[in-house]
Amino acid sequence: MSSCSTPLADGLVLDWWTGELGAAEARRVERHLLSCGSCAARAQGLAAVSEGVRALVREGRLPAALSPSVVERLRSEGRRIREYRVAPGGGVQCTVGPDDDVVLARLAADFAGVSRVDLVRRGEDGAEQRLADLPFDPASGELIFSPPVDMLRAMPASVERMRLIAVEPQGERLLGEYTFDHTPWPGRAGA
Amino acid sequence: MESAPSDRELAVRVAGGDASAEAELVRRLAPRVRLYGLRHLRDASAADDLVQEALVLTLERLRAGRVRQPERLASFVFGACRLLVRNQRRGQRRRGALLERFAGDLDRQAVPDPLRLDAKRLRECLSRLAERERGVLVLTFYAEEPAGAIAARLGLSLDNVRTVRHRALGRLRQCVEGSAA
Repeated sequence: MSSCSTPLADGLVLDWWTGELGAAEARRVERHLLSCGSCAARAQGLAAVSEGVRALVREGRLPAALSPSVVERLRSEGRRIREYRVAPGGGVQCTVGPDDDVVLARLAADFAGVSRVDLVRRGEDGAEQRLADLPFDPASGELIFSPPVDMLRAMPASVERMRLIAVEPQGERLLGEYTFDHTPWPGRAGA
Repeated sequence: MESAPSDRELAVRVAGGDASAEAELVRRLAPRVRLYGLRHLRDASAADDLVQEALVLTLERLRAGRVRQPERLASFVFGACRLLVRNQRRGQRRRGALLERFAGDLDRQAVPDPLRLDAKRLRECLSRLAERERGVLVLTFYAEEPAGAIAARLGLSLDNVRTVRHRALGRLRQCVEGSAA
């Protein structure tokens, strides 16, 4: 592929892709991308990542803390969402159905004054996994976590405990502990 | 080694009836037009429609000698894309008369398959990112929130969101390309 004498910066291409450029600058970028094979190839790589991330979120296959805006978008796209709202100290019986696209654990907590939150997941065997510095919306009063549905479907009946921990300059503080008592859907592999 | 012909050279050859130049031009322009379509329509099948319509229009005009400045082919394609996207947004998804007449002339074999990443590999690589990086990418690419909105939502500065996003994409690219453990 021919090289480009005036390559577009990666940040500029990203701003174009996300719609963060003014109209005139966007048109300049678009004309360049339609005439330059090497810059277009880089932009196609970005587009492929974007499409891939969208597909993984839509299919509930990406372990991630989600914002309410992402959940609303899933709903507007007609995705089937199974969600469990749990208060601090609470627990819930849970499963994943064959038609579920996305499963959400909605962990309520008081995030007043909190700038960093970690989530600790503890399986029945006592093994712990710590997810550090999760993105969260302090005003929402909950952290929404989406475990991958394909992994949930493969899980046997088991109990998982989650802890939300505020990490502060003076130390750590427990925001809440939540228990998920998982049962496989009848007839599924883990049942 | 022979250098690849420029877009202008290909346009001139298409105007002269060179079928191989048409195939090469389609191969070259299709991914670029698709990119434009994905950006503006956010839908893969609508972007594929745009590729077909824009390329049929471009080839028909070139064959008829109606692209007066072949060196400005990109500007012509850009104008066609803008018009067609505007029509699609207005709900005019029906095939136009031009497409009815000329769609059969488009060498579909020359249209390359779109670039797609291996979903399993992408998930592995995303899982290796820091939680905040992954969250910012989800907000950027799925929720389509601009950096300013993400900053307000997560209580970060705008510069911080841009830095996190840039770093995350760099790490992701390295991982997907297999150069990072």
